[in-house]
Amino acid sequence: MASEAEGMGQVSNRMRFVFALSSVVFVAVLAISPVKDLERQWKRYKRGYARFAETRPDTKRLMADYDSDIDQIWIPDMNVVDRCTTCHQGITQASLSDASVPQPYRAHPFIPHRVKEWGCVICHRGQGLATEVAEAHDTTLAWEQPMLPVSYIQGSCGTCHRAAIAQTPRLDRGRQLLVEFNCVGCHRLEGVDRPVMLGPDLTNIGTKVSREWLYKWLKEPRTIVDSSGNVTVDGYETEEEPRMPKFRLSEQELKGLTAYLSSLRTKPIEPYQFDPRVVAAWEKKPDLVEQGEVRFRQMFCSTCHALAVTRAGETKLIGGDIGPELTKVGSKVYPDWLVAWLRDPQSYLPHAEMPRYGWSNEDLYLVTHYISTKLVDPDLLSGVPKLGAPTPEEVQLGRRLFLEKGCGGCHVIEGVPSQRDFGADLSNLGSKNVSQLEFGESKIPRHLIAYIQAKLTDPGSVNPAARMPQYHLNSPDLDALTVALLSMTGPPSTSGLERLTVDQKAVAFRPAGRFGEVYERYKCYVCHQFNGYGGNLAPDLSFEGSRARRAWMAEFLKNPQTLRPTLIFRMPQFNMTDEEAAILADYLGMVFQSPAVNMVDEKDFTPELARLGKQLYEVKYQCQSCHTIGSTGGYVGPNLNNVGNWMTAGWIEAWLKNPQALVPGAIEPRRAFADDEIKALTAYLLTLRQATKPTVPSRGAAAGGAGR
Amino acid sequence: MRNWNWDNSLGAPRAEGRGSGFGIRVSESRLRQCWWFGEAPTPNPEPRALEVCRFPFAIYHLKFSVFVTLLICGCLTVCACHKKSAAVRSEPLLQAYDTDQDWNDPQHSIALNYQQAQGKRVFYNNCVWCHADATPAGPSNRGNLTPSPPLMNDGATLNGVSDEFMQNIITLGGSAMGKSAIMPPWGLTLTPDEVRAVIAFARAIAQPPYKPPLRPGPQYPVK
Repeated sequence: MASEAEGMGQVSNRMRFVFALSSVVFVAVLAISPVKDLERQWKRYKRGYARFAETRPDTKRLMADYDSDIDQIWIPDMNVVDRCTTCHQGITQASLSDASVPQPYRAHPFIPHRVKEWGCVICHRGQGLATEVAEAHDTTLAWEQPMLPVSYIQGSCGTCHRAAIAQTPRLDRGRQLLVEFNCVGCHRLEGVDRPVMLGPDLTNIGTKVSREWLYKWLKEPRTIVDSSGNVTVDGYETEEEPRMPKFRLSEQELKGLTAYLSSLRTKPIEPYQFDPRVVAAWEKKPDLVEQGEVRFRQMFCSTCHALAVTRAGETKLIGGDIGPELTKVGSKVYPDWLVAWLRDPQSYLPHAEMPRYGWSNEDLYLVTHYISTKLVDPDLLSGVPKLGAPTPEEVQLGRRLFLEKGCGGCHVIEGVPSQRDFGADLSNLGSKNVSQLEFGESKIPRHLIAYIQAKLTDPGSVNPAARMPQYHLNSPDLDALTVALLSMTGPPSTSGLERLTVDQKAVAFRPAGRFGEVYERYKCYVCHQFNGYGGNLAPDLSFEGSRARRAWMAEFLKNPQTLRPTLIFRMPQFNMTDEEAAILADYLGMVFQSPAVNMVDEKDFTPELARLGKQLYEVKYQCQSCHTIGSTGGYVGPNLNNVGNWMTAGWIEAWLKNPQALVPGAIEPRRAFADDEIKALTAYLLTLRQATKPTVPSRGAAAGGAGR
Repeated sequence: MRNWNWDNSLGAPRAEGRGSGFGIRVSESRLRQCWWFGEAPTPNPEPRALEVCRFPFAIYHLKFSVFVTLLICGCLTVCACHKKSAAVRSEPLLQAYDTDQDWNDPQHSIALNYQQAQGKRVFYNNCVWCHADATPAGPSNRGNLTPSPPLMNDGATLNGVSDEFMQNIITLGGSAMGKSAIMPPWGLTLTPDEVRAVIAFARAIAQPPYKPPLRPGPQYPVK
């Protein structure tokens, strides 16, 4: 026992050597950690910044708040801890804004938010807590939110700014596209309201179009994108894409759907009997179609509807995109339906945006004749197979397919339940981690942006069984839509975000009374804005009562004239009665007043004052560079030939003082006019009057009114 | 006093070791599992439930284990130090806030940062009507004016003009700077930040490209 213990105490030299070596190695292993800590990436950048600051002339300022430790911005409200400024040391130093300054020390480009108040990850995303380059910027196993590429960063603006702001054009375009493409038909989206009517109501579609036309439409909804990315509608190039996307339908499915839809005729159309005197007078005239075209143009249908126009050998669609394109509409709809529609669009589609024109029998006869003679294409349905009358089995199949394909998301059929939220909920897509996305077997990069873009360009590439239809997007639109979807991060997750979120407010303006009736009939809000509600094609009328004189308004409503030479679109001629025009003019004049406009006594404006104003206009301020008087001048601003009859003196004075106070975003610069200069300019402008033209008698009233 | 052994948890029968404190009782099966102890001793044909591991024996095996451990540590350290940084996307337009098409070459897009992008917005709202040949509304007003205003990307004219001068002529108007009164003053309409943004935009799209002076002063206050 004892000898054994002694033997144990004796260690050979070889063992000693092994012990010595292993203790050295042990110390070396222990030393790795502190050395590694000394060489941490952020420490290297810290030291690099100090060295870099030495080479700059303003070292002292650059090093003023330098600290060799980790820098951190903490915003408890928003649950943000942000260490980016540890390496991005010079981010607030104005003198480091130059592109020659190496990253990560360069200053942040000027933005409206202070870096020290907001940190970086609220906008750029990524991992604010990380202290290594790769972990902070990219996706790692532990942290899944990579930084947003800068071109998509407006998506972060949209998480708080739900209402449109001028600084984020790409985000606004994306949100506008979400509305235009009717994405809310199938998906739930944050901040996009579901309109009353997404696609047309199909309850009576069998009375409007034939089964053959439905077949052609469902197979290829007019849009063809060729290899160079040009969008063609009905064979003509355009920039607008129709809302109805292309669904991938088999021949069998097409037959079923067309059979079902063409059998929908709940309310038959009653043929309208034209006044026999009008028919007798026009039937034999050789210029019947030409006269129809003239009326069609005079009524300015092209403000809302596009037509193929050939100019210099090139055929393009020209006209507005509020209503459908009409080049071949004569071959699409039944003639009886066309007359019924023009007379009263709302009786066919209760939510149609088309105004109810005041047609005279003569106009209606001419225009419908023009449409069904000239706007046709005999070859339109040549590629469609013979379909014949729908069989009950086909109708049954079509009814099932209508629901299976989710058509009820956008289209209404009486008695068929609405299919809202048929597709995936996208209201928090922007905050999803990569592991929450289903990539399946696809080869797409595992990245949220790549996922969104693959879904949008080819839904089948992610999931071959996807029911989403095919859209054709060009690359700016694709990026804009991606940005808008990235901005959808669901309801605010922290109290700070909740407080900051700026919600969109669109209060529908639905006036009552006689004005409300006329306003609804002519759908004023489709083009004009009223206190922030309505379209943006035509001027904002919120302050129209302060701007225009009543007599001018009443005259303009009956005979709209182009006020700006560069505008393509113009207010249509609705054939209003004198009474309707008077109702609109009275209401606009009484209600839509601006508090910035005062009553001005026009007796003060003497001819001498006007002469002085003319001097100021032509010499000192050179207003003619933008405005036209007579036939000379620029065409940025409105033509001033008739401004004395058009505008009130109070409006002109208020406008000259501060245009942007009356119309936010007005182009005209605000200038520092003296008060007497404003008086003189107003006096001069009020002398500019044109004799009123003899008014065309109101046709609608004169002919008894086919549309009344 | 209970004597907790390594294999206590295994529930194997315990036997008192013969040695004093140096002995570590390890079952053979346990030893086989502990691969970091190196080669297990050649298994005895007679099944032995228990093996007493004497200290020198352990050290003999430790010699291997140290080297193996060191090797692993070394590898791990090297791996940790040379962490593969993820591929950085170097697409310049992806790193840009916005882009504008080169006016002279439609194939070429110019990357814009936030400030330049805001300048682009202001430019297309207020300036484009006279300082470009095509406008969002179609025709330009430039042809109506004498003297003809310079195009916004006209580097030959604007590159020689300092930022201060451009700031002044935009804010105060042409007549204040001895130029044509056609150029209105924008000082009451645009904020100083917006004016600086417009200048930054003009510099970004200039053809020939704009080169800033060697010692630029602070161009704008960064908060």
